Amino acid sequence: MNDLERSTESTKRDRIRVEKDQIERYRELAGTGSASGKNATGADLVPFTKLSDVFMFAVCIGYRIKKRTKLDSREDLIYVNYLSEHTDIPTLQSIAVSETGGIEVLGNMNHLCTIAEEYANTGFEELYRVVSGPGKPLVNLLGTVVDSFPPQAGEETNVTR
Amino acid sequence: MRLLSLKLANFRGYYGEQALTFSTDARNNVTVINGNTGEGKTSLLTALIWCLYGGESYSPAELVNKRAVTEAHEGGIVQASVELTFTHQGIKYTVARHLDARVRADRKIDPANNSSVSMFKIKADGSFERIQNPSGVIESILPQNVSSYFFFDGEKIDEFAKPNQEAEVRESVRNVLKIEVLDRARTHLKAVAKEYANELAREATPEQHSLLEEQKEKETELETLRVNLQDLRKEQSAGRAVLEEISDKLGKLEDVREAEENRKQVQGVLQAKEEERDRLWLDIRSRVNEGGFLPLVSEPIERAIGILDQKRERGEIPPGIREQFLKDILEGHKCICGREIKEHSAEHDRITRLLAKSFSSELETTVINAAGNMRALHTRLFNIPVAIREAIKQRVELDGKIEELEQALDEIGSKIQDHPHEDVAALGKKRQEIVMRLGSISTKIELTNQNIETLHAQLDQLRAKLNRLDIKQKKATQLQQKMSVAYKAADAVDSICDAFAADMRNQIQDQAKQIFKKLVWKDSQFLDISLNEDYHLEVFDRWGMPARRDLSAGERQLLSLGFIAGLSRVTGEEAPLVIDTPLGRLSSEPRANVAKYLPEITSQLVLFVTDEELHGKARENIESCIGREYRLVFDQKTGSTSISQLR
Repeated sequence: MNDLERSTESTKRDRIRVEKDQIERYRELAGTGSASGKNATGADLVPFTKLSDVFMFAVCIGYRIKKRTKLDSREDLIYVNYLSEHTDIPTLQSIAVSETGGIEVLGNMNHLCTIAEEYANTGFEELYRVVSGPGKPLVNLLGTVVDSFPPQAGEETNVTR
Repeated sequence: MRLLSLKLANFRGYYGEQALTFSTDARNNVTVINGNTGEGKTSLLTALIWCLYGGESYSPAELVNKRAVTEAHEGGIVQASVELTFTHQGIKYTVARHLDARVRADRKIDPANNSSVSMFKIKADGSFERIQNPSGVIESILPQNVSSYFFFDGEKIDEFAKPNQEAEVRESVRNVLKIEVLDRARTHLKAVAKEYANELAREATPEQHSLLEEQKEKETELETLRVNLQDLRKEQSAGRAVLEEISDKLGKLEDVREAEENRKQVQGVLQAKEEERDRLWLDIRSRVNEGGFLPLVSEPIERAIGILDQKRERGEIPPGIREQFLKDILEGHKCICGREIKEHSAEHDRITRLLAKSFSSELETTVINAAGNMRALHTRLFNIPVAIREAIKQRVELDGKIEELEQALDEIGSKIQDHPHEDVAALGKKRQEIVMRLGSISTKIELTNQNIETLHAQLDQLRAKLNRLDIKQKKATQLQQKMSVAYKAADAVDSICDAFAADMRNQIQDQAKQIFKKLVWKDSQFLDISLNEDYHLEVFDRWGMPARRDLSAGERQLLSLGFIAGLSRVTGEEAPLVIDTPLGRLSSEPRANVAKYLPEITSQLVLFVTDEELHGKARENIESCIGREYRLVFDQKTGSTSISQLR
């Protein structure tokens, strides 16, 4: 066994965790909370349909802010295998490789998830602030997404009509 | 249930013993009984229903054959009876019901006893086994409250298609799908939970007591909200019905007919555009969720790809050489080309170094896959913004179109409201008021639903708190647990019930649509059928406008028939369709069409028809499906009917 493999022994992880006081708000954004808005249509739709999507946005916004915050009180959010193999996992891997500068983290799911969770811990507060601010949550989310696109000449930038 | 035979004795217009056998052939699944008005068709339907379910609404005078009464002596007993043989889930049954009547001096009759019923299972060897609880068994095979959806008078069947029949439609769906069973389970569980709560209150600690009181208050509040919701839905349904009436009236006034038609068309287009916009938002949300975050992390994706490329160039990435392959070479002291590899040689050292770098296959796969997936992500970084921008552009265009249509609708509305003719203006204004009122009701319904959800969540939290309390008394603990389980079970049944009803409603809608489109002869006029969550059965014309009020009596009959057939398909009940006068309201072309498709919608079809109903093209279309045919022969002299088999 080489060094890298030796280090993978305590590297398994099967759940993604978030701060306990964020759980209910995660569910709110994904329409699985107490006010699910299941009858909403159009621009009134809840912004997310899965907790994993909320988490991924939280991670990416946290990375954008360039701040990781350690978790204080952990609560399980979802199973790791709820993350999509072709989008979510490679995104987290990219962030982890970029963060550590090495590929060792690819064999250490525990470390990879910890990096993601700490970025999400920061990013979620910003995500929630933006999405549940004035206006409709889905429209607010769309605004954030479009703002992150590279600019295009003559594009319609006001998505909140 | 598959009908096999029906025997009558001195039942209504049928003197003596009369019998018929139903076709059970899969292909020739139709039994036709021909009879003109007053010859006894409806009596056969009555015989079927009475045999299975009895019925105190029938007096002996209505059931016992008059000729048999005349021929009996004073004080004698005349018996009217019906015997039905059928199969159900592979078992053959026979049900016999009879009513004895005593003849008076004035030739009137008194019942000698209540009607009695017996039921037998007919075994393979021909022997009979008596069934102890015939009513219960019949109820389990085909409940009485759903039998009218399978055995019915075709001319009275348009009930479901009439306006304001949501309650009846809802009732029929709930009955056929036995949702009542779930409802009763839910009510019972809640009652049990309340009993435990009351008992617990007597054993409770002060803290528990306070939580239990809070729970009770919230339960009451929840119940109130549910009742409010029902009332709001009724008000909404009534409002919509009034709108339809107003539209109807305006459509008949010459001055405004054109404007009203125009309004309906614009409304239809507006509705379609709004639905398109809703679908577009769903698409936008889907695209945003599935990778909309990627542009936020374009930098680490590119950097990670760069790091992987560097490491590959430096040979730090798994070389793709399997560990076992290298070990085999070292142990065998021979390369794959055949060259000897001695220990401590340069080649040996190089291979040993490679072995130290090689990974387990699992890790190697992870690294290789990660590299490939990251590159795929990088490609999507460019595609995602393009797709989302395009969807937004379409949405913006739709918004513009919708605004124009709303404006057009307002203008037409204003013209009608400002019409010089007082009645027209009054109708227009009333419509506007109702539209505003319906808007307010929709908002209230939404708020009430949200409040109900919030209360559910609060109740869940309360119950969780109760569960966590450190309860010292054993009895209180047990009551606590039982109460908790009962509430959870009731909530679970609630969710199952709602989800099940919604799913079944959609299935019924789909089936009804398929069947209606087959039966109706101008299917190009009708675009769609819907059965919404308020159990409002609607048909849409080719402009997408509600058209139920415009249906003719025959078309309403077919809509109802489509709904019933849809119900029976979804329920999976093996039950025949027995229809008295199915085609009476239809003219020849639609009649021919219905005759063609009716045999397809059920596994066994029994039709009681007049000569006029089933002749010409209609007869031609159904001919190849007829397995048995009878004619009712009415004797003018005796006033009795007999059954004569034609094939």
